[in-house]
Amino acid sequence: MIDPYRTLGVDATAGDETIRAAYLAAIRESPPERDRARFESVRQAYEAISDHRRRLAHELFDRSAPTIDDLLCAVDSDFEPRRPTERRLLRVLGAK
Amino acid sequence: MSGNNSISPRSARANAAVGSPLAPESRARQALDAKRFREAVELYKGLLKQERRPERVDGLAESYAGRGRELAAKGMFAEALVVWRNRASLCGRPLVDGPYLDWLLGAGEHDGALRLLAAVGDPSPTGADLEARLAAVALTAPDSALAQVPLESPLRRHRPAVLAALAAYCRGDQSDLDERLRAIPFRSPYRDLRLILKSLSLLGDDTAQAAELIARIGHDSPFERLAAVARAAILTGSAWLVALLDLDDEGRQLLLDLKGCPENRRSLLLEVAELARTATPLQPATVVNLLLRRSRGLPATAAKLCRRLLPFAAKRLEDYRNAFGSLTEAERESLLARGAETTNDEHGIGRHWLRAAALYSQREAAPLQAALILRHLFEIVAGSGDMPDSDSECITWLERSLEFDPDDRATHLKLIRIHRQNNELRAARASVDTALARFPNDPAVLLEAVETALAGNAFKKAVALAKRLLELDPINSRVRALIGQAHLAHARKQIRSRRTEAACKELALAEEWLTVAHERSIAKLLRGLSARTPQADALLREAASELGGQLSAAFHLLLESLRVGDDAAGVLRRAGIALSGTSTPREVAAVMHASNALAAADKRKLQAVFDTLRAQLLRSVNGAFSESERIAVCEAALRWNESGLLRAYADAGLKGVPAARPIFVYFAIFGRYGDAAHWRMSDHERRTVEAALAKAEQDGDQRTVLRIRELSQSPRAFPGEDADDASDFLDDLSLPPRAVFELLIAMGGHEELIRMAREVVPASVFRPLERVAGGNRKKLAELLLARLAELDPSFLDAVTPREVPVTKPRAPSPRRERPVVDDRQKGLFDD
Repeated sequence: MIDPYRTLGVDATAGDETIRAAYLAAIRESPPERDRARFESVRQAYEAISDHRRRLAHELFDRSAPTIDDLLCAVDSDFEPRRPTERRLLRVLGAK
Repeated sequence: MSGNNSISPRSARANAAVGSPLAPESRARQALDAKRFREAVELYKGLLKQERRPERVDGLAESYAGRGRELAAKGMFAEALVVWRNRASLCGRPLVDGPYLDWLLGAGEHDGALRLLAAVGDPSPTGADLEARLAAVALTAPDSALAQVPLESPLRRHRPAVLAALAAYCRGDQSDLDERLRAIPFRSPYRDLRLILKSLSLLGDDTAQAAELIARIGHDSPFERLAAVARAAILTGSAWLVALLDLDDEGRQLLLDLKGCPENRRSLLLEVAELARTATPLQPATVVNLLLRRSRGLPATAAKLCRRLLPFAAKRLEDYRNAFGSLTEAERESLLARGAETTNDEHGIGRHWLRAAALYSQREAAPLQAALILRHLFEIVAGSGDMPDSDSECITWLERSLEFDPDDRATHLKLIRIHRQNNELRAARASVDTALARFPNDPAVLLEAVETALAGNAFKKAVALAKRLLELDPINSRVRALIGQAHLAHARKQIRSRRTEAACKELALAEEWLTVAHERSIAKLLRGLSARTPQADALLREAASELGGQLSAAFHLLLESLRVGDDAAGVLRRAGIALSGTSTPREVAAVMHASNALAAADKRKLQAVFDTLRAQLLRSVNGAFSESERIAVCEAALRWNESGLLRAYADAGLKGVPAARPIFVYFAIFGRYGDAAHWRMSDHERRTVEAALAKAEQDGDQRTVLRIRELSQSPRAFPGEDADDASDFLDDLSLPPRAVFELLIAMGGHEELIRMAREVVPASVFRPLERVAGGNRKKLAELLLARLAELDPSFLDAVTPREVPVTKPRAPSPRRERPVVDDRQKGLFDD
């Protein structure tokens, strides 16, 4: 299973209300008749972390195999998108 | 070039080609078509020396162009440019045509490219095209090179505004950027850059709009290198990683800038990108290795992922500590437990999870973890081959988990059900009380409370709880039925106590709740049993008629009469039922179906009913049963351990049916030998069973396959081992005899010890012990244990399966055999 927090787009410290709101928004966006696969993954994610007990159980017993997204999220969580320097841009355009 | 006396290899090849039997023109064309451009150039040059014809000039130009592209494809732009210039000078073709400009740019000859623009001149179509293609060059060219471009060229006129827009974008000054971008005309050679900058400025705020803008840029744009970066930056998830690898080094650095990747993590990102490109499932150990190797400066999320995956690489625990810091002892035990789960190390699973639970339970903030671990352990251990649901240790885990987390309703419910199923009604009631105290108005808890009260014959309490439940859930039909059943059960109790009036009152109450015709007939039947008057007899006859008459009615009459302590034979007479002849398959099936609805607690009464009905059921064995009806009858007989019935119905199912279902072979053998089939089957029967197994496998009947395999295997074998392994294991034990027998009981239960003892202990010893035990199997096992422990340890050899003497099929007991008058069962497996 893909990281349920990422599937619902919530922070790992999110509470019940935040998670429920994210879940409702996600299923409104992807109802089963429109995108069955996405709906199922959202539902599974919500079931995994909908309350404190489940979140703890997920943390304790999750044995899902890692995905490349898991790995990327693990190493880029502190990235802060920024504007490049002029020099960098011009070098891409061919400046020496 | 070489002199007259020395012939270069190239000339020699050309001369040889010219001297071949084919016409020179054809050979040159052939070389060109075969993309042997160098050879074609030589041939055409030779031909042009002989005579300059237009088609030969075209051929040479084509050969040069092909050769030039060949070189450029290898990155040899300088050599490609030389070839292209030869093409222009020898064939009279314009220099600016085709890929010349791209090759100039590829070779880094920006000055030459801009000179080309001055040579072509504006405003010809070629000049406008050149301007567009040279936009990126003009933007980045030094002033000295730019001086070659005419002053009035848009490349020079729009350049300051574009540079200012670039600077505004890089500063993050959105309003200035918008203003600068507006200053760039729509038809400017820099128009693509205008869109790219706008798209880049929208990244993170409006990705859809950014993607829409970048989609307008063609892949042949002079700003393609920047456009490719923008396209990659728009991608979400890990998709941009794959695009990262397709960029050149400058492009990669810019993309990583845009994503905010610090300098010291860029090589790690490229490694991750390489993993993403392989598109194969990531191995947890690979990720752990990567994160531990590149741990310096990684955020806490990396440590978290690494910790999550450590169970797949438990040997790296020490490396993890060095890289990301130490783990608490509880975390460490949890990791080891998950690692044990990964490797199916059953001992490790229990050991580490229990340690983790103990450690978590000591911490004030984390008793919930302890509760979750204990429940998890119950889920993975209880119900497994080694540990049944009823195992007291497993139940203790659940009970302890409720001490740490008393608000988990599901665990309360599970505990109540387990206690009830194990017939531990006192414990079930205690669990119900605990759950009700915590969840007084929860329908699920109340329903369990009702069922527990019913199981303990606390009918009034059951009704009171059920009515409380109905107030919460008025349309719960199951509860209504339960209330009716509770009144019926209470009525039985009153009839048994000869309190007719109270029984009638209960039956009246039951009829208020019962809606199913069958259940109402049972209530009527009980009214008939509550008194001995002509009216009561009439009610009995009426109820018997409603219940299907004959066999089916007899079943219910007998069962209810036993339940209320009445004389069974007398009740049949009062209801006017005299069983004779044969019953229809439907009646037999109805009886067996009704027996299936009974709980295990009714087993003794049911056996008494079968004692009366057995002869009638056996007389009906040859009826025209459908296959599914016969299987259902056999399944019920199997459930209630009615081996005589099972054997008879299975034999009848096999007789004269060459393609009979393999399940009937299983029923027949099990009916004949029960658990001892492995030891007692004849060779012929064994072959029959093997054939049935093969047929079941062929039919895809997995359930029958498993049942036949279980039947064929030694009941003493350990999972995954054969009987010899089991006996070897016992041989290796250096325990006192009593300990060995206790171990055997732990492995196989009391029944197993009794079964083994029956094989080896003389009847003169066994029977007295059996009488002393008085039907208490546990007590019999204890007595046997004490007796067996007195024997010599070498006696064990006789107990283990390997050494069990080959015994002939035991003669069926007279009680079981007598009713089965059909002798076909003898002929089924005769060899």
